[in-house]
Amino acid sequence: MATQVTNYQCPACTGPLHYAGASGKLECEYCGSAYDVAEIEKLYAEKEAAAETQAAAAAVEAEELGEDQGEYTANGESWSPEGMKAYSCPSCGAELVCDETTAATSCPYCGNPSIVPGQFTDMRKPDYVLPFRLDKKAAEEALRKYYKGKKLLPRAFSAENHIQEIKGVYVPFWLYDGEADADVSYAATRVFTTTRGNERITTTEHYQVRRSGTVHFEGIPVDASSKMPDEHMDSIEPFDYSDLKPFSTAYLPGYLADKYDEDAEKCADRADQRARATALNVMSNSVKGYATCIPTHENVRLRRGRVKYALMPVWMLSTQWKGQNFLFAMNGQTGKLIGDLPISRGRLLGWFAGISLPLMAVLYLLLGG
Amino acid sequence: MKKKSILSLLLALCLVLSLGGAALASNQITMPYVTDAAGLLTNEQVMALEAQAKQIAENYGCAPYILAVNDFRVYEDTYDIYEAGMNLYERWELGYGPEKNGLLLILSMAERDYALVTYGSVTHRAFTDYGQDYLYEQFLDNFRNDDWAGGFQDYLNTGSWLLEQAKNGTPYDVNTAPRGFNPLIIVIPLVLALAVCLVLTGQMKTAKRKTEAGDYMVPNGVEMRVVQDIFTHRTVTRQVIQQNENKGGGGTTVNSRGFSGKSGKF
Repeated sequence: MATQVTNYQCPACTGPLHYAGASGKLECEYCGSAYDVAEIEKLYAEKEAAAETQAAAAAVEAEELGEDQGEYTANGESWSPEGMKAYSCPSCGAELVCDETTAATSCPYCGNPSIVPGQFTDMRKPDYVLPFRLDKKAAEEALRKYYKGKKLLPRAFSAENHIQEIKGVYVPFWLYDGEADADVSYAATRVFTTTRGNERITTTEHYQVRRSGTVHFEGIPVDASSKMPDEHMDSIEPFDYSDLKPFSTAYLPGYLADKYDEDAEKCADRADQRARATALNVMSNSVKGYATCIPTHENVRLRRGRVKYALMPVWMLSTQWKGQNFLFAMNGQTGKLIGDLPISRGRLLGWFAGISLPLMAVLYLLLGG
Repeated sequence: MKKKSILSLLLALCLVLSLGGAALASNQITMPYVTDAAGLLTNEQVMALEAQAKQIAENYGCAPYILAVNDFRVYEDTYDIYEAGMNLYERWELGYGPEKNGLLLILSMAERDYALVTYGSVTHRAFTDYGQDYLYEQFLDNFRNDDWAGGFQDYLNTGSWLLEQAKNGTPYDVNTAPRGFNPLIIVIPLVLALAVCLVLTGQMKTAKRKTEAGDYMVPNGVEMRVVQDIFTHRTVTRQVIQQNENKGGGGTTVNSRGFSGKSGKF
């Protein structure tokens, strides 16, 4: 059975509202009205509660009728969409199936932006959301620019992949606070060289150096979605946390949104590793004025603090090229764009030959004539 | 010493007699250009080399000599084959013309020693230090393979070529020698092209896992409890500074006796 879906409708014309990063408001593309997030939240708080109640009642009814949630019957055969969730579009009525971790999406038939209700109720609700600051146009432009400077990019690649399919996604992140107590000893040397007569005299002073201290961290981000490659999410850091807002679904319309499928405990190891490496670096950087400095003893004790759950804005484009999948991600707040690109072997060889052969000719004239 | 000088003279006389009247000129004993007391060459080879050496001497005014002996110490009271070569050159009054231009290559088979001594302004102009090194390269590989005739042939051919270069006004030296193929011509462009391609390839792979969290350190969030630097001990090493010989200027190094050359093993 389909789940009831919430979408924010314009109080003036009932058209769908989108969150616009540039204005920071929910805007109606039909009548052009714009509303503050708080204003719409207030208007829809009651409506959302009612929708959830209705969904719960529908689930009970389905149970009584012997139907399982997310189970359909077609041509007499049973289909169990494991890991999927069904809902109906409130705008056109289409029956849609989405990933069970999808919290916000848009209807492929009418384009209506929707929040899938209940997605944040059976799990931990996000503490914060970092709203999109850059819109789709900026993301498309950034991706075009990203392609431009790449000398080894096959020409057909940028033409064949559909930049306009880039999607704004709120990616779930765990933000870890904590402290790292580091105690490190080093063997360090200072070297002085003097010349006396025909002798070079090298004096090496040996030191035993110790550094101990605490490094405080706030909000080390680790993406909480198994669907998102860690390398991509790490590479678009950092996010500016000063723009974090208390979570509200009002920021989600117009974008896709995932909820976490890797819990805070599972992801904590990555935050620990990063905190540990940084603490050692801080200690090492405080040892100055030596020619050599080799750690002889390292001890780092981590104290985990508060963990916050936040949705971070990411523009994403996944595209296929000659059987390989290429994923691009852009920080929806800062515009930092990353992604692996295919390499044209012909262009690579062209560059190699184009540099080496003329240079050989020039050097031959200069050195080998 | 006296005994050795007599032996040396006897050797010279024997060599002159073995060549018959051709070795005699006026009232003075004229040394042959090729003397094989070690029995390395056939008579035909000796005759051919002698003729070639004579031709070179007449063409360029510089006499190239070859002396192969079993042990040079029999003839000279010295352990230095180069010194023995200079002594013999002077004692036998070798060289062409009044200035005694010439060069003597000695092979001593007992311990496989060789020496090349050069003398006279014509010789020094043609056989620069750089040119001598080139000359050694030509014949030493033959001698190392016991190719005696081939080595002597290379000695005369290369010597003739060096004299020809000097005669034409461009002695073979550091600045005038034809340069061989420099491997840097290949290596530098390949390394540069590889570096550029690696940079370009790196631009295509931008997604990397982060290992640090420096961006998320709390401002002023580092509390250092222990900052301790303890001096433990001192070590001292002494190294003698090597004085590098400067051979980059070209020309010919001539010693106080007016000779140039080199000795070594083959």
